[in-house]
Amino acid sequence: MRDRVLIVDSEILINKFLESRLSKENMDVDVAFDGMQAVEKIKKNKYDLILTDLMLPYVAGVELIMNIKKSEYNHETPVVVLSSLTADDVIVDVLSIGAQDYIIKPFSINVVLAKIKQLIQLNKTAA
Amino acid sequence: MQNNFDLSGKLCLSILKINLFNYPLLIQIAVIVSILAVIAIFLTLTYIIYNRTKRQSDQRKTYEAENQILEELNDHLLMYDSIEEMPENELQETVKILNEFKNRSIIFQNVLVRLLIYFKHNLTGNITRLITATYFNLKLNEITLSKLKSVFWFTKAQGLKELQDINDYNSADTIQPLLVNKNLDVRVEAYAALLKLQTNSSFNFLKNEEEELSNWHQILLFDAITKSEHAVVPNFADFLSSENKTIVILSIKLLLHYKQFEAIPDLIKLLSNKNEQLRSEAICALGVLDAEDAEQKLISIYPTERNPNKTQILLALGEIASGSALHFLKDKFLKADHYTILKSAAAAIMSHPTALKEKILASLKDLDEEQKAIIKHFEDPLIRLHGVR
Amino acid sequence: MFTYLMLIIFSIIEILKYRRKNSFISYDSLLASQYTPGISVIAPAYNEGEVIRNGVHTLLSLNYPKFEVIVINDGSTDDSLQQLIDEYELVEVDFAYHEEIVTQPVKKIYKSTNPVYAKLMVIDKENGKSKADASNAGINAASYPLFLCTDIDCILHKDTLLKMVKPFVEEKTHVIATGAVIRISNSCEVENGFLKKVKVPKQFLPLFQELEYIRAFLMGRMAWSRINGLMLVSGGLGLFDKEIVLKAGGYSHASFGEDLELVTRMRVYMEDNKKKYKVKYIPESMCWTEVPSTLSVYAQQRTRWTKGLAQTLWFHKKVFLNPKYKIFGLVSFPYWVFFEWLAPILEFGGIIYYIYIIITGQITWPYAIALLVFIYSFSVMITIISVLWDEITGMKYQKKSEVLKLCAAAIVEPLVYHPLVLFFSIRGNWFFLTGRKLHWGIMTRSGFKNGNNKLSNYEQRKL
Repeated sequence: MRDRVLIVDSEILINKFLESRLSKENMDVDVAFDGMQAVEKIKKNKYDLILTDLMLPYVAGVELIMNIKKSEYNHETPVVVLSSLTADDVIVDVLSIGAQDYIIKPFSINVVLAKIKQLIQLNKTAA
Repeated sequence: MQNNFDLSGKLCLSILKINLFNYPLLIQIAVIVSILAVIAIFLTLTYIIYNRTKRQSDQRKTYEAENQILEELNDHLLMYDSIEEMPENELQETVKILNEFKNRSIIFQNVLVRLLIYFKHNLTGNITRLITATYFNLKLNEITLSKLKSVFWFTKAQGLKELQDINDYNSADTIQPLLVNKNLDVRVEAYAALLKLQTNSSFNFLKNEEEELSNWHQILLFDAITKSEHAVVPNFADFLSSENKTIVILSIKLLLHYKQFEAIPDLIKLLSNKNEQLRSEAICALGVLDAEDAEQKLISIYPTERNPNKTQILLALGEIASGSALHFLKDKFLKADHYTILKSAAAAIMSHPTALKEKILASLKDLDEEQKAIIKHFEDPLIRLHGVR
Repeated sequence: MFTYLMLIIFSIIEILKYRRKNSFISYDSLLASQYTPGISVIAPAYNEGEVIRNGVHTLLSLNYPKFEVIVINDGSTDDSLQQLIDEYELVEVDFAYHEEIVTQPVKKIYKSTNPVYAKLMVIDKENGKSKADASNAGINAASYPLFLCTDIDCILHKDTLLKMVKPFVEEKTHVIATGAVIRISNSCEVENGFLKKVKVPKQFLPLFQELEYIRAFLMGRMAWSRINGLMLVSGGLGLFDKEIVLKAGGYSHASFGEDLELVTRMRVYMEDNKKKYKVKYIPESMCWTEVPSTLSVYAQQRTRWTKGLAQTLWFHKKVFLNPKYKIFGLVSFPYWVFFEWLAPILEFGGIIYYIYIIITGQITWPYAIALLVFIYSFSVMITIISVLWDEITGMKYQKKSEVLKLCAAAIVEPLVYHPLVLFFSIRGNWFFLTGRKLHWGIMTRSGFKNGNNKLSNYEQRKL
C-alpha cells in the first residue's frame, strides 16, 4: 500500500514541487494551502506523514501541529516542519509540541525525501 | 416631430452662441473646470475598465504560463540532481520546450525567469546547479543583465536581485558601475550581488560606502553575507573605526554572527565613542560575546551613561554572568531610581547560573513590593518576554 | 480646489514611490532576520464575547517572526474573559505590571500553559470607560519596542505586521507611527474571523462609507504621508513607537478622538524636543472593519468623530499657524481646521448663501447652475480618481461590476450621501459646543453574518 503524505504550505510553487517529487517516490500526496484546509483534511484522512510550513494563513503552523496531535486519525502521525524561520526558540517550541523534525528553508530535496522515508518507516516499525 | 440629430444640432448651436468671455471670471473658471472634470471622470472610468480588463487578462495568462512551465519543470528538470543524471534526449527535449516557452511571449518569459529563480532561491544541493545551468542555457541571464542597463532604478534593482540568486560569474564587470550608482537602493543590491559572487572585492563597500545604510539595507547585506557560505570573511573589527556609523553597526552584527572574539578589544575601545548609539551597540555586543574582560570597563562607564545605556550595561553583565559583577548588580537593583533600571538589574541577576543567582537572592532582604514583584516576574516560567532591551 | 489638486498629485507620487520600492524586494529577509523589530499587538475588548475567540485567533496567526498579542479585557460584564481562559488554557501569572501611564487598576494578568499560545497575554482590568484607558494598560505591559493598536473585531491581513513595519526599518529618519488602509467588511465573506472574499458593500450606508474610506486613505493620507504632514493614524490600525508614545503620555482618556489626539501630541512632543521624525502611511489594505449600516448608529459615530476632532484641535491650538511646528503647524493643522472641522460649517453657510443669492436674484440661473455643476463634477472627479488609485494599488474586488457599482455610487454621492456627512458634522460641532450627550441605549452585535447594527462598545460610551 502506498504511503500517504499531506503537504501544507501556502506557497503554491513549493507545494506543487513537493507534491510532484513525492508522487514520483510512489506516495499518495494531498496538499493544503492554508491551515484551515489542512485541519479539514486531517479530520477526514489518516496520513503516514505530514509535512508542514509554519507561516500559514488562518491557522498558524504551531496550532496546526497541536490539532494534529489531538486528532482522531493523525495523533500518531509523524510531523516534519519545513520553514524559513531559524530562531532557536521557534525550533525548540515546535519540537516540544510534538514535531519529529525541523528542516530549514532553503532545503535539499534529497534530504527531505530521505527524512520522510525514514520517519514513515520508523513509525510503521513502532506500530 | 424632432429627431435626435435635430435636437443635438440645436444644442451645439446654442453652446456656440455662448461666448465664454462675456461672463465673470469665477463663472469662466467654473465652466472650464467643470468641463475638465467631466473629461477627467470619463477618462478615469475608461482607464479603470481598461486597466482591470488588462490586468485580469494578464493574470489569467500568467496563471496559465505558470501551470505549463511548472509542470514541465517538475516532470523533467527538478527530478534530477545534475545534467549527467538526465537522459540525453530528455535534456534536449526539455531545453527545446523551455526555449519555446521563453519565446512565446513576454509573460511566459517573465514567468520562466521568476520560477527558475524561485527554485534556485528555495532549494539547496546539486539541483541548484542544474537550475543555474538551464538558466544560462536558455540565455535568461542576458535578460537579467539587460535589466541592469535600464534607465529605471527599480528595474536595475530587480536585475541585481535576480543576479543574487543566479550567480553569474561573468556579471562582475556589469555590476561594477552600479556599485557607485547615485541611488542607494541600487548600490546596496549591487553590493549584495557582488557578495554572492564572492569576489576579492566583495567586502570593499564596508570601506567605501559613505551614505548611512538603513536597517533594511543592513538586513539585506547581513543576509547576503551570512547566507553565502563565504570561504573567507574579513576581520569585521577592522571596520569599527569607520566614519559611517551604520557600517560600524553592521560590522558589529557580522562579527557577532561569526563569533569573532578577537574583536573584543576593539569593542571595548568603542565604549569611549562619542556616539551614544554606537556605545549601546558595543555594550550589547560585549554581552553576547561573553566578554569577561570587558566587565570592569562596563562597570566603570556606568555612572557616565544615561538610562538607556545603563540598562544595556546591566543586561550585558547579566549575559556575561561571570559572577564578578553580582554585587554591582545587586547594588543597582536595590538602589534603582527608575523602573527600567530595576527591571534590567533583576533580569541580569536572574540570568546567572542557579547557584550564584540563589546566593544573591537569599541576600536580598527587606525588599519593597515592587522589588518582590519583579523577582517573581522573572521566576515565572510562563513569562518569556520581559520587556527589557 | 487647489488643495485637492495637490492631494491628487502628492498621493499618486507617494503611491508610485511605494510600488517601485516594493517591486523588487522580498519580505523574506524581514521574516527570517533576528534584527526585525518585535511588535506587541494590543487589542482592547469590552463585552466582545461574540467575536473575541475568533478575533484573538486571527491575531495569533499573523505572519511575523517576533510578536506578542495582548488582549485587554476592559471590565467586560459578559463571558469574554471566561471564553478566553477556556479556549486558550490561561492561568494567572506573576507579571510585574508597571504603570508607566496611569490606568484603571489591573486585576490579573494571564498567560497560556499551552506553548502553542505562548504569544498571548490577557490583561483583566477594571473598566476605564474608554478604549484609551485599555490601550494604555496594554502599552504598560508591552515588551517590544513597537506596538500595533487595533480593535478585536477588525480583521487583519496576515502580512499586516510585516508590511507596516517596513517604513520603520527602511527610513533613515526616525518613524514614530505608520498606518495602512482600512476597508469595509460589511458584505465580505468571513469564516471563523478570517476574510475569505472581499466584496463591495451591498447596503446603502456602507457602500458610501467604502468610497469615503478609499478617498480618505488613498488620496488623503497618502498625500499627507508624502509631505510628512499626517496628523491621524486610525485607532483601528496603527503601528507606533512605544517609547515615543510613553514619552508623549499615552492615549488620552478624556478624548473623544484618542487616535487623532495621540498622533497630534506625539508630533508636538517630537517638535518641542527638536527631534527629526516621520509619520508614514502605506497604500495597502490591511484591515477590514464593520461600519454602521443603520442611520442611528452612523449618526453616533459621526457625531463622536466631529466632537473628537473639535476637541483635539482646540486642545492643541498652540500649533495652529505656529512656525515652530513647521509643516505640521503651518500646513497640516490649518488644513484640519479649515477643511475638516470648519468645512461642514463653511459649506453649510455657503449653501445658505447660495440659496439666498438665487432667491434675491443676485445671480442668474445659468450662473447658479454653472457653479453647481462645477462643484459637483469636481467632487465626483476626486472620488473617481480615488477609486482608480484603489485599482492601481491592488484590485480587491474580483468582479468589474463591483468596481462599477462603486463608481456609480461616486456619481450620486454628492447628492445622496454627502448631505448626511454634512448634517452629522454640524450636529457633532453643536454637541461639542453645548456639551450635550447622546443616549441611545445598548445595542447588540449582529455579527458578520447578519449585518452590523452596532457601534463597537467603546463608541457608545463616549457620547
